[in-house]
Amino acid sequence: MVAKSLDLIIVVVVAIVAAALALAGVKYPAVQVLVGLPLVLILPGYALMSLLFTRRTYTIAEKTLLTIGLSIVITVISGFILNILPMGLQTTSWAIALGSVTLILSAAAFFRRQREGVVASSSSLISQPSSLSALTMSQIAMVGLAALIIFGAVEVSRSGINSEATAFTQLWMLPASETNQSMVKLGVSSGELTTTSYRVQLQAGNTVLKEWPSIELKPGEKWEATTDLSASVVNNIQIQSDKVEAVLYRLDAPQTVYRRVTLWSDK
Amino acid sequence: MKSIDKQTEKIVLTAPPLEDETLDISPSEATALTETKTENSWGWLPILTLVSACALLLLAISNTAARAGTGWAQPLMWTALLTILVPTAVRLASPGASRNERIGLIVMVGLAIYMVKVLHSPLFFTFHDEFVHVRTADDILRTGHLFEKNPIIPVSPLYPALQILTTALLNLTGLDIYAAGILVVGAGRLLLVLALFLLYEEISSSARVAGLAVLVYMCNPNFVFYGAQFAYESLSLPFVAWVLFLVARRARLAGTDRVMTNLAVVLGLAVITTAHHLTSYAVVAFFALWAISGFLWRVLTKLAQRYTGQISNRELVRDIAQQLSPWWKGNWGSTHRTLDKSRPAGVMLLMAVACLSWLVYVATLTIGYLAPVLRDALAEVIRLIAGEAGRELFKGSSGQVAPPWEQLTAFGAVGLIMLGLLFGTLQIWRHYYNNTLALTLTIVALVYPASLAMRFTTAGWEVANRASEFVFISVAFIVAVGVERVLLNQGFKFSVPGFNLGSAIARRNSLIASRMNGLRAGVFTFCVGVAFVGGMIAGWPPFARQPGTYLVSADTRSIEPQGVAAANWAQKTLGPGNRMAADRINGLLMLSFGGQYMVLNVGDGVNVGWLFYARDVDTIARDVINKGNIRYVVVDKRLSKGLPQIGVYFESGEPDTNKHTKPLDLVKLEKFDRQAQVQRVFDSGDIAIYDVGELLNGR
Repeated sequence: MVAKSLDLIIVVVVAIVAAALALAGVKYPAVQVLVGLPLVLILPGYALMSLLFTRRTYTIAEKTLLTIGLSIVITVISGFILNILPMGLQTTSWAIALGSVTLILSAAAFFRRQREGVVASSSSLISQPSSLSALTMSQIAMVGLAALIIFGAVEVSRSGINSEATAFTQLWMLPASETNQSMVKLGVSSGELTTTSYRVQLQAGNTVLKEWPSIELKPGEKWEATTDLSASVVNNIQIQSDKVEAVLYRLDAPQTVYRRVTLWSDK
Repeated sequence: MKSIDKQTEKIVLTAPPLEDETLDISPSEATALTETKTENSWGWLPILTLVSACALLLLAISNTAARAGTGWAQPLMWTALLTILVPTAVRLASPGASRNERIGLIVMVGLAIYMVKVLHSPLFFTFHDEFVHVRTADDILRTGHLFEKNPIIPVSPLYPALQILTTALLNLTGLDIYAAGILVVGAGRLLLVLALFLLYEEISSSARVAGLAVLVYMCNPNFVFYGAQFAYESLSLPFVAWVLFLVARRARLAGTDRVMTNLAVVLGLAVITTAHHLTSYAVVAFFALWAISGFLWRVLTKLAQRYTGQISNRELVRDIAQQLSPWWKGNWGSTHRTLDKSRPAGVMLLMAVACLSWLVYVATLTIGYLAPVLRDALAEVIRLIAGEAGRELFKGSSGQVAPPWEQLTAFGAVGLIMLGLLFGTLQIWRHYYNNTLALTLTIVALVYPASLAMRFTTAGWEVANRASEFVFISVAFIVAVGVERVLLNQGFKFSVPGFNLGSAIARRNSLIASRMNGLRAGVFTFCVGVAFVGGMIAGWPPFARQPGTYLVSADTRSIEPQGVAAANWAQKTLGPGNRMAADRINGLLMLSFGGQYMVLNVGDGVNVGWLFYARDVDTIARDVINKGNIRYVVVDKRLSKGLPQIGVYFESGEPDTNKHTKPLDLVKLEKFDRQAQVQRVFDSGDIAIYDVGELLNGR
């Protein structure tokens, strides 16, 4: 009987592994996806389908439909139940909820099959490989090649997103904290396509208070600095203006203001 | 009792089944029995999968070219799309394909077309509604609880089934929200095409009709993009098909199987109720129509019997009373055929109670959210009927007019579908006249011509366009029946009565028949191609069909790395939840990637458009800032470089809504630089963020 419920045993094992990995906080993305995806979209529904529909012979299409549909149903209903519990919807609660629901339903399906003398073939996806086995090696190769091409298509599509037209650089200046307004935080982040060199000046009116002459950033890199504007003096230069301005230049165009931010000094 | 016509793959019922008896053969089993290619049941599927994959690669190349503004990108896109669709249409029209192959083909094409949307936006979501639903999912992740406030679409958190599923997947796989989202919507797409196939097969008892019908369904204007986006309809619609299939199937079930199927139906209804408001109301309406049409059909049958003298007046009254008395058992939809026991009234009542309860106890905001949309659509239709100017077809808000071939194709698509509906309706009346589900689908399909009239109004266009996903469930079946019965299933014979023309003529007949079948399949494929391309043209504006260079206020075409990076910066540096004002696009990005609270008319009764339209930070601007309690203003200089593609820069109600004739003045956008005490805290070239906190009263 156990051998005839091999499908349910596989479901239980995968559910336990998926829940255990989530509870242990394991961070191996491929493994997480490999077991986490079935725990949400396949296993609970498969267990419930095995429990509900033991007698009739369903085709693979119908079983697939019921499996995915019932999995979604169980996950959504579990979400509403978790919402009223203090722990809410988070990794731990999801792992416990979906793992335990799958185990309970699988056990119930197993006992129902035992009681009714139903063999797995009438309700299991796993025991109906006849259609799949009709695939020849060349057909399997074609499907595999198709998968590779689709993967390539996604990569081609992704690679086209970053272009000259979408390149940019960010400059920002904010008080370092709400309580200490005289400390300001400056930052530069590069979204350019190549390594770019910058110069940053802190100005008050026509006076340069401070300068960072060369900042080299690779695409995606960030530079940050904190400066004290207290007592209206920076580097022994008296601040004449109410407005402090940070100006960013690219070293390949040193005379053109590339980015500009301002802060009112009395803030 | 039952036999199978091996030529037509139909189940032939010679007598009605006994009450409470389960048929021992299903349509799927029946069609499986008639399969001729049992040795290799997948047929053309592997090679067509490879062809579709190559087409997707072409599409990816085309998208990359479109981003660079290359002229040949769009022709290549249409080529790629038709390469996916055409070979499959040829094969589905063929009588030689097995049931497994047909299912495999429609699943493959359904997912391949879903990939079109994924390749359109391969790094992050770019469709308007997606950002709103991402925000709801983000709120669930952040708080661990449902029903947080969403400033752009307030009802989004009140129908959180999609986000529950996505966040569960995200939590248990470690994927990001984009990856989890496309997997969830992909699962929904798989569910939709499978459920539709099985539903159509259940009604028609033909895998061929089912395959054709799903293919026709894919021609609805929203199948490629709108129905594939990360939005609540993308989950609720598959469950509509799921529930319809199970209700249709349970008519043939008895005992435990029927009880269990009922349970599955109830669970499916629960998902629909908590996934999307309009879908759940549409389900109630559909089952009500099914129940009423079944009842009326039964009464009309009895009246006809009385008219022909088959029954007496007394028997007529008794029979009608019998129809009415057990209404609570859901017998309204009874006919004497296999769908006798579908009992749609029970499902309708259950769903109505569920919808009403959800509306009253959880989602009361829905009424206020939907009422203006429906009211505006109705008002525009009335104005149109009264002869006032409506929406000009094929003309965008920025004045761009679709090229003549697109207009011709879109009209051609509508014409072909109307023709299919005409022939299909006649065939339904001939062959399914006592199948109440088929009759109900026919009635619903009549909404399609009516919805075309709504496309002549701005608000009505949106309603009609969104409704197409639902209406096409009916349209597809009716058209497929018409196509299969009228176009594809006419045998060609050349003979002279009374004469045996010999084997040469027989061979010639066979050759001609083969060529005629090929011709018919060719005609069908051409029509499907036109309907598919025309549907896309009618449902999706030209600028949105492919990625490309930046356009002003063009939703998908305005989402680009600089805006996303600005929103991410706001999230990390300013922290979430700041009250902000921004244009439509940066508002979406700040809401989703930035986790900010966007001040809008729908949530706060403040239209920030007036803030941006002011020439200086004057009384009006300060009034908006104070009424909205706005701390930060996001200014995108690119708004001054073009007209808004979707009619508004900010939101409906701004000056010149849908009637902009010149771009927003740059001087107005730069006013914050001229204003003392306004901090310019962020600059990324086109986008600047200003801290206007000092302008708030009381500071």
